[in-house]
Amino acid sequence: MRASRYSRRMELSLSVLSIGLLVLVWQALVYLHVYRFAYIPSLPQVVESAKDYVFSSDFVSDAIASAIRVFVAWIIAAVVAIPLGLAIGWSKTFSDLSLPTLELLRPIPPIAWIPAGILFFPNIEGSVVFICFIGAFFPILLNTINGVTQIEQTYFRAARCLGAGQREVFRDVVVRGAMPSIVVGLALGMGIAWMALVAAEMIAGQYGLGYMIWRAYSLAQYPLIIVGMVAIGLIGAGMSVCIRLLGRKLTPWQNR
Amino acid sequence: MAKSLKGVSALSSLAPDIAREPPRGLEGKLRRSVRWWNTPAGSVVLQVSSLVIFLVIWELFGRLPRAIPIPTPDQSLQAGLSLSPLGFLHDCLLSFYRVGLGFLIGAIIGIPLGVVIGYSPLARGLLFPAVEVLRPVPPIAWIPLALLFFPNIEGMIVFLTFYGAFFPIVYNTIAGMSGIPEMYIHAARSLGSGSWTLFWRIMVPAMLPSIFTGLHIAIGIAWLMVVAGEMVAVTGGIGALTWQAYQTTHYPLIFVGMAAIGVLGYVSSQIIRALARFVIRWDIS
Repeated sequence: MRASRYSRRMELSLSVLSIGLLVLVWQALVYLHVYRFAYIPSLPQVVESAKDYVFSSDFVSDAIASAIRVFVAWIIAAVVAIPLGLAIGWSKTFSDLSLPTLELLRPIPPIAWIPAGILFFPNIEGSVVFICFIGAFFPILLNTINGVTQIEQTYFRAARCLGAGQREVFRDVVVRGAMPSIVVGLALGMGIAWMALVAAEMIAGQYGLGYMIWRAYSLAQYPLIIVGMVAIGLIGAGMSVCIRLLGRKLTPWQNR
Repeated sequence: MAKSLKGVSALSSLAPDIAREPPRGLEGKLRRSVRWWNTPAGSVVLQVSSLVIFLVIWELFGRLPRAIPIPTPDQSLQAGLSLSPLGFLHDCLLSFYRVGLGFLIGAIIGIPLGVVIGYSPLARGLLFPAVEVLRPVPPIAWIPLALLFFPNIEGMIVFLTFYGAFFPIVYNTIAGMSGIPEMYIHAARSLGSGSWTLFWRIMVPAMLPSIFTGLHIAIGIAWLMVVAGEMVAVTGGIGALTWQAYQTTHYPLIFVGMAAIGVLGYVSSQIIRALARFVIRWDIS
């Protein structure tokens, strides 16, 4: 609220200073051997191993494997959860029939599904996608339900008065009205799916970025861990930017 | 209006002997809305049948011919009953303690940091970008570094729960701070309140709902993190129990572990919710 006192330029230089300080503190802790920071790789080591890894075919195959897994899981979750959420939000009967079971399963975090996921699927690929699916499913579902139940009753009455049938009401009031909330759910779902992916790959994977940082740990290639973390962060951030753009396409009437 | 109409049609459906025209149009829709499954009792019946259908589907999955059959609800229940209650309780409490400790440290560091970032533009410029740059890396990805850094497993798991809880707390505190209407501050100032009063009497109450939103999200992520940490480290706790059940092929026990994680996570989020209701008594929601 008071941030406007600073110019954009000032803000930018403060940001650079802030991130610079973070890196500086990290380096100081490592070089001065504070507590156990000597075990943590330093920035030059990380840059060194990043140079090797980023231009290797390993990086490309790991990144693509992870991105495809999470994307497939996210799409499946959206295709299942959005219609389900719309139906639950719209029909009390359907809600009574399905929501108790979903509420029962919801508090179980996606990570806790890892052993069951491995058991359910004959191959690793299926179990990793399943765990990401669980991660993406509940945020999308709950935000869709919320989106429908928060639509103003006036809209329904207005649409009915203007002669809309059930189909029109569903398409133009329910789906449109819930859309902003669905977009929020899609973004949250992607975030949690990405997190679940890292866990699933770390525990069960054969390749992918999560597996890569775990392998780097087991093989004592410690700088590579940080390279992997940065890659995971960047790809995750890139995906959330994509979803924000998609959201703008889906809700063009919202002025931001 | 709609309520009274519904009431009328409910009454008329209780008196079927009165000759009526066949329901049509709006009247028909209103009559339809009081079929048995729309009554409160019917709703309970549907909700119970939802859970029954869930168990039946689970049972059917368990009977699928597979190389390793999926444990049925009955087998899982048996496995749960065969556990030693004390050992099981110990695992639950250990996980609960780890979550609680990490969560508490997250709140103790996260809330003041969020307040400072939200309050002072200079602090925001200096601290926020550093937080922002760390945020896209999912907390799970810190597991290998945490294993490397901490000499003992206990420290590593508590760090993971702390780190998972930290970001939602900081972000929601900042949001609460910057969401305070300027008018409140002007009003308090013009009524002569000093900085101390302004902070404790105006700002803190105004941002508490947002802080509790953050705490609520944070406890969920802390549970997720404790399960991940325990599965990797396998030194006690309910996550370790679940993972070991898989590794030692005691498959029915996996579902016992999952159920326990779900119940514990649910209970802790209800505790936060109750605390929020107690602290924010003035907020109707």
